[in-house]
Amino acid sequence: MLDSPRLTPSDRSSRPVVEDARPSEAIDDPIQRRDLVLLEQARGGSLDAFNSLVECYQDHLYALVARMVPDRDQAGDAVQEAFFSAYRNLHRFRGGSVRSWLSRIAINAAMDQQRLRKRRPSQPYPELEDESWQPPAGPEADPERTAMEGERGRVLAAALAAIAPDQRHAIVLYDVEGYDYAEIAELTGVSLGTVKSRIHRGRLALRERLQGSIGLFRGEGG
Amino acid sequence: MSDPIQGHPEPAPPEHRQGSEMLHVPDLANHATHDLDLIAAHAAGDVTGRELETAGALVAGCAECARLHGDLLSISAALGELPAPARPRDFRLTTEQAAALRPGGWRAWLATLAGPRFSFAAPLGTALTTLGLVGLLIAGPGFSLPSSGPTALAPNPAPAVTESGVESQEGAGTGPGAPREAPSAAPSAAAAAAGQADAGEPSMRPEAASSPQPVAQGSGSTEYSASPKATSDLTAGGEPSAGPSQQLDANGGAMPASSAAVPAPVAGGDTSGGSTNQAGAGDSGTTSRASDQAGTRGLLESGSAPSPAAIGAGVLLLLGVLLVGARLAARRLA
Repeated sequence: MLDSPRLTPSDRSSRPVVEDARPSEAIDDPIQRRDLVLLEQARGGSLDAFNSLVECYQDHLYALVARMVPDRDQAGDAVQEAFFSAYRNLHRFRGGSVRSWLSRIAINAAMDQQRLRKRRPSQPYPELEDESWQPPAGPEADPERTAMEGERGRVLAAALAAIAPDQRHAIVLYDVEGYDYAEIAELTGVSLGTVKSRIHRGRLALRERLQGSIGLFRGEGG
Repeated sequence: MSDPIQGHPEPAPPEHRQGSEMLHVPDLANHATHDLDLIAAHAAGDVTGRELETAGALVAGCAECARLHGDLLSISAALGELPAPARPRDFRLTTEQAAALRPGGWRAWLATLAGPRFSFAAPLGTALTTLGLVGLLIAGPGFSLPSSGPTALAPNPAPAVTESGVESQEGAGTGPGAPREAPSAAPSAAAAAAGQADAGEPSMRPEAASSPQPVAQGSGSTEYSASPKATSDLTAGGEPSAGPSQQLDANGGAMPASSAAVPAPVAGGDTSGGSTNQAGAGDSGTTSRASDQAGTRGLLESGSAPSPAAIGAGVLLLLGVLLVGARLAARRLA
């Protein structure tokens, strides 16, 4: 589920399809209720209400889009365009999770950016700027461990940015964002089998890219 | 370093794999022949049955496959722990941006029309358009009910009307298109219109009323017939031979309005001299020409005064088209 914390593949396999679970969750979840109230106010013309929604979800949406579109400027543009699109289409929201609705808009905006980029292949992705990928360090964090995690995140993000966009989108949506296969198939407009194939081959491609620093991962993989 | 994975085309989706591929027990000592996609699918928990057995055998018997399996699990776990990239700016909308994004005026109306509340607009518009079209076809000037069909289909025996009010039935080959016919032949089509005029119809042509050489053949009763026989009788001999079925009312042209004005669309306005719908074998073609001219005139003249039903149908049609168009435009703009 989109709103869930990180899930392992075994958790995913036992979950029901999201579309079946959403309506009942939307009733009980206080966050959902808050979102729906804000959305209704925004529909009524309140810009403050809409900006409250933006405040709630801009971090999440930017993190999602930035992984799909490694260029940070383009990712920022895609997120901004997603919020513009959401504001323009407030009347089209038909219930359910506001977070999921916004995420879908952002994913579409990210894929639009990717298509735009495909048409202009002469512009390579710039080098990732490391500071944006540093994990937050808690007070109890071991400096050595923190440094290793930072390095691992950096190389993994670089490898993710280097693989094919279709594989990257599928991996980000599945491994990072926690969508299930069916949702990804619906979002990306391909079959379930193609989604699985992209994920499998994307992971193989990542492993290939990470050959030089695979030791960073083997320590935790067992 | 080459990238053998990214360079390959996308494989067939897992569920489309041939079972025989997976049933093959690979040479465990030769890692180059091992199916890496199968290992990746196994790491993702996406294999079952014989594929699972094969993948398990590879992971258990091949050190490289086992390492790959472990690496893939580690990478998948690390992906879930990727730190969130820092947001570079605030994405809240300014008042100016909101004003530019929020449609105003007619765009706001269109945006509302594009919403789910007005999803009925397109079907309703389509229905109204259909109703309007059907209504126009039924109530329009060119339509005649089946009960009047034979009469409508028979413009040929159109009567000629003289200034004295005597109607005459002319041979079909004696219309304006064939002036060299017998002198007694009056332009039947024109006379038909004149007959309408005598009956108070608005479709009178003044020149038709003064058409020369009327021949009164009336026997006191008028009966119109669409029978090809009658037409054939009229034309074959070149003589007006008003048979019993074509006798006219000598008292003055109070003809059924449909007899002259209605048949035109049936005749199709064809003045080429070809056979008309009602013309049977032996029809000369001149008959058709004359009657078609009369029919065309009738249609044009009668179209000048649409019935209330036709007006209503037109309004429905217009409303339907507007509704469908507005919905489509709204959805496109939205």
